[in-house]
Amino acid sequence: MATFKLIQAYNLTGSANTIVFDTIPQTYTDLCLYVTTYSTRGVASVESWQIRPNNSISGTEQTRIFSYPLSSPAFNSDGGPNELYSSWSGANASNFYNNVWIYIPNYTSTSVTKCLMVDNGTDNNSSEWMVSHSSMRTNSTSAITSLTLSGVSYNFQAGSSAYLYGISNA
Amino acid sequence: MPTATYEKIQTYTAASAQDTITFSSIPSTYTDLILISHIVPVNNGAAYLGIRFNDSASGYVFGGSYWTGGSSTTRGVYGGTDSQIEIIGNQFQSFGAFTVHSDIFDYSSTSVYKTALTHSRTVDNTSRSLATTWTSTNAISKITIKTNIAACIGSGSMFTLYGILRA
Repeated sequence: MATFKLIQAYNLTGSANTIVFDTIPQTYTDLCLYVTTYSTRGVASVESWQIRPNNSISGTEQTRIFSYPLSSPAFNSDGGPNELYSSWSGANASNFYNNVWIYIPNYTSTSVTKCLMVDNGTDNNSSEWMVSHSSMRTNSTSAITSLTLSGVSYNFQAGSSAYLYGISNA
Repeated sequence: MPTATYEKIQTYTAASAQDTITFSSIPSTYTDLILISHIVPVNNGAAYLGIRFNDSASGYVFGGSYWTGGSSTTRGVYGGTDSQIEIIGNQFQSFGAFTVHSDIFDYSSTSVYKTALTHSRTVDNTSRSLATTWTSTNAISKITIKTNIAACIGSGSMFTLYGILRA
């Protein structure tokens, strides 16, 4: 029996500030989310977005390691805000994609807090890039029934996509 | 209908605090394994948490990176040999729930050393990404997640072993 099943998919044809996966079935063991974001801003900026379990980041904590840019790569870590530095745009960057992998085990539990794994890579025609590895923990023991991707400094642009998969406990 | 390629072998949820989780008699019918661990620590002493294959306490050669967030940020790369795949370091049990994702390649081979990629993610302690070679040609039939102090893996911790099916 196949256990890696698509729950819901988004392929944006216009700009959107949020992408929402609601009414997530409670019939899987883990969740896996693949996100591609696309930016056309064309100015030097850090464009971040949040992932909000049950549409809340209250009490969440995060730590990450990240490295950028190509011209003078730095290897840093921090206990940053509850945001994913999903896109790094250097000067003159105009079009770049960012790919993010998020894994959420034990999401149906009502007795333990949840810890999300996040891997992130961004590239703009090899002139600018950023990679990061993050962990994010909720302080809630509630089962995760929805996931909201929320732009902080920029909207998700047309061409962005998000796919949520369930790993079956069958 | 397409052939299933990603199957759950076994899930274990801890009903009480313990120090060892074991997957034994792992079928050799898959190509690779994926182990997902979501661990709720219990503060019961200064413990380390690691993975061993076939109860072997030697032959693990590794390299990887580590980092700790917060104001006292540390990070770096490291490598060496160990008696296990150390996935969380000293005093992990003092902190909050964390996740470990492990890929174990070609586990059923009896002719090559085994390679594992292990990513441990914790908000409070040191996160690690390791590539490890277990220098044994024995097929892996048993995986043990173990602490060196009793009862540090708390109730509600969940471990799931998946098999990537041989086509």
